[in-house]
Amino acid sequence: MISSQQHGAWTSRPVANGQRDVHGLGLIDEATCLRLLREERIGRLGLSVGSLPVILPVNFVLDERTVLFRSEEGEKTRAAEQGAVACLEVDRIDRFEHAGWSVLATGRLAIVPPDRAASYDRFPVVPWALHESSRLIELEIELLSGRSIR
Amino acid sequence: MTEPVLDHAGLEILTVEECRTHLAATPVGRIGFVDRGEPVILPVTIGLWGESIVFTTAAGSKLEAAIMNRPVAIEIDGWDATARSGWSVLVKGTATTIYEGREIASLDRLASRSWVRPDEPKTWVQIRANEITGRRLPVER
Repeated sequence: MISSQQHGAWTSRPVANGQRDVHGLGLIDEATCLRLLREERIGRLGLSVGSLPVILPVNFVLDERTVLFRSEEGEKTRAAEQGAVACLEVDRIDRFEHAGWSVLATGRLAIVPPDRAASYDRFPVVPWALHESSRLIELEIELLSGRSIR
Repeated sequence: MTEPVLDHAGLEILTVEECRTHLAATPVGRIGFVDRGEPVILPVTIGLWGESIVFTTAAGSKLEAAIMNRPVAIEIDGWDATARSGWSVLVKGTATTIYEGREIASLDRLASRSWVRPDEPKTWVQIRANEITGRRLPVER
């Protein structure tokens, strides 16, 4: 059984900045949130489709404060064409140790215009699916937050 | 074995049975909801309880207030970066609070761990699924 919880380095456990939210979860500072986003390759994109929530996995990379991913025609592309608000979530949770963290980045989606998309050729932005006919989509982060439990 | 059915992006479509098998075997998922027009995703430790997905949240939490009696999505996934393969399951449904004492007691016995600290009052949330869909990214050939 493949599991995102078992796979990969569980070593990059963030140190919360000492502040806690009302439920005792540690707050992760913004610089650490960005580092954690940079270290992950697979995230979950949250969309509101007809005001119903949808979560879709994406292969992404981070450039400064912009999340980049490729997508086929579909819900993600439609949302990007409309400039919809979306969020990207990454996490590592170990339920046996009762420890983990999650980071949530929120912003508007946009289709990256072809001229600018070419400048991202150096980034390893691979689509989640296998088809090649995908378009590059960006989410410029406006809100960034992270929580850790330990 | 029957040929896998592919979607428009070339992903294999999982059967509901395969989705359920993943749900039963995957303890950590994410809940998605729309809060004041903005989509939000948070990790949750989930359990399969009959036909429903259950998890706990701190009583009176923002999450509880944001999802009660409203549409939510639950996502689980698993992937292998080296093989470039993976799967994901998406459940769409409505969140409700479980109030019935006997049901709460039986859920407490399941002892599903949660992000709620043991000393904090918690609420059991039930997601009745309207729709279960899943995709698999086949191992690269």
